[in-house]
Amino acid sequence: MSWRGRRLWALVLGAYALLLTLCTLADMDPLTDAGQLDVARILVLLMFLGLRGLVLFIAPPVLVYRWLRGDRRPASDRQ
Amino acid sequence: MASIRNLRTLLAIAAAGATLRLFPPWWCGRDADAWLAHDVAVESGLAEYLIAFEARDDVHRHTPGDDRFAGEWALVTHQMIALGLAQIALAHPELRARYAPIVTQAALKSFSPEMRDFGTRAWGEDALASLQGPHGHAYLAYSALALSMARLIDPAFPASAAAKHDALIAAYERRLLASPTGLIETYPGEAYPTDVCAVAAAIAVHGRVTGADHRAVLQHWASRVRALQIDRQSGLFIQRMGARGGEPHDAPRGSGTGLGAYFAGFADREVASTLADGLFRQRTSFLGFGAIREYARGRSGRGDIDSGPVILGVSVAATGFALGPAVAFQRRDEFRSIYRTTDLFGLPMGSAKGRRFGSGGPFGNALLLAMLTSGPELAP
Repeated sequence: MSWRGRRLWALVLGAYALLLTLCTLADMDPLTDAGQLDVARILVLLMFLGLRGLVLFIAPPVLVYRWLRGDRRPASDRQ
Repeated sequence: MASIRNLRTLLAIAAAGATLRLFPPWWCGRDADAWLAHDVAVESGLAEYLIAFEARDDVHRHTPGDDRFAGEWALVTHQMIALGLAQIALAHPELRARYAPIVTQAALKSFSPEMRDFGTRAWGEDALASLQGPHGHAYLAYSALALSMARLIDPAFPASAAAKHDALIAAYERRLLASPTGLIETYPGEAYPTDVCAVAAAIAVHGRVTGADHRAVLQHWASRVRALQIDRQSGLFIQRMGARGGEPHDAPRGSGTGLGAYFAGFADREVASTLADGLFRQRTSFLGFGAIREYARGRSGRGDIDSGPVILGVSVAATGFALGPAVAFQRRDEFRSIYRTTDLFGLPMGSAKGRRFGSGGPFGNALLLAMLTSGPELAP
């Protein structure tokens, strides 16, 4: 995987961990106790869901594929 | 050398495919068996979050908005918290003393006049001030069921509220026995079989609490459900019907069937099981993640306030409500696949206040508490 790819995945995982922590600490729910929708919270949760999708569905098969191909050098070294 | 490299690439692709098929469902389904086993840690974790919500609500009481749906949501939130906590108390008697007063408090809140304002406005009369009248007021059965369950587990349930509850149950019994379709109206001209399941459930649990004999009305209701209210082709409840003639006003739908199956379980296991069979026939799954179609195969339609968004034919409400009958009847495969979807989109997370589903809010978490802890409330 290229360094750019690694940085991208690090960013995704970091953002996911940050959102998980923030939502947990701040009790972030899309509906307030009074049942009103909060657009800002919904946007955060949509981002959260998108990142969760990447972490669960994309990252594991990509990592397994890369690992089994044994092609672990950065792309810049494989010229 | 090239063939070894090709073989290795093929192997890597196959392994990546297997990872995609196995890892996400495993990760999202880790808690499924604990919910199926009524594990006290997972159940009380979600319960604590909702107990904290009830305490906040006592301090900053939110009056429901003027529109019908905000009122329904507020009533159902307190009702489902009461039902979920009562079910946990039945499954784990050691928690009964702590949960019983909270169940009573939540049930009484759902029964307060401001919570039923939406129904009062729709009918032009208060349900409790018109008990001798012919109007169904079936929406209030949600509160009546919560009160029945509170009376079942709380020996200190207030006598004055019990007397009002007895009178409401008597009115429901009289109206239901007088209905040739086994339906009573929720709003003028509108009857929902799901709401009438809540009526039957409230009556059935009331009988268990007081010893009153409600068999005649429950048998009448069950026979009318089987004969008139279930669509034979799909096995789903017709969502909305005419109370007098029993004519369909809407399609057979998954959301009403799921919630109806949960409520029916309080009153009649066979009816609930029949509805659950119809519901799970509409299950669809992808990569191990299950969901329930809102409209039966071969039909299509849009989402509404009952179903939530309908995406690729499946609805949020039908899928969430299916958890109840799946765990109650220990339909393990169905439960696991639907739970994975709930976990994926529900974003479960823990905090000092307990565990919760981050995308659910108090309303979604209250519904999930009642559905995921279903089972102990089933009719004998």
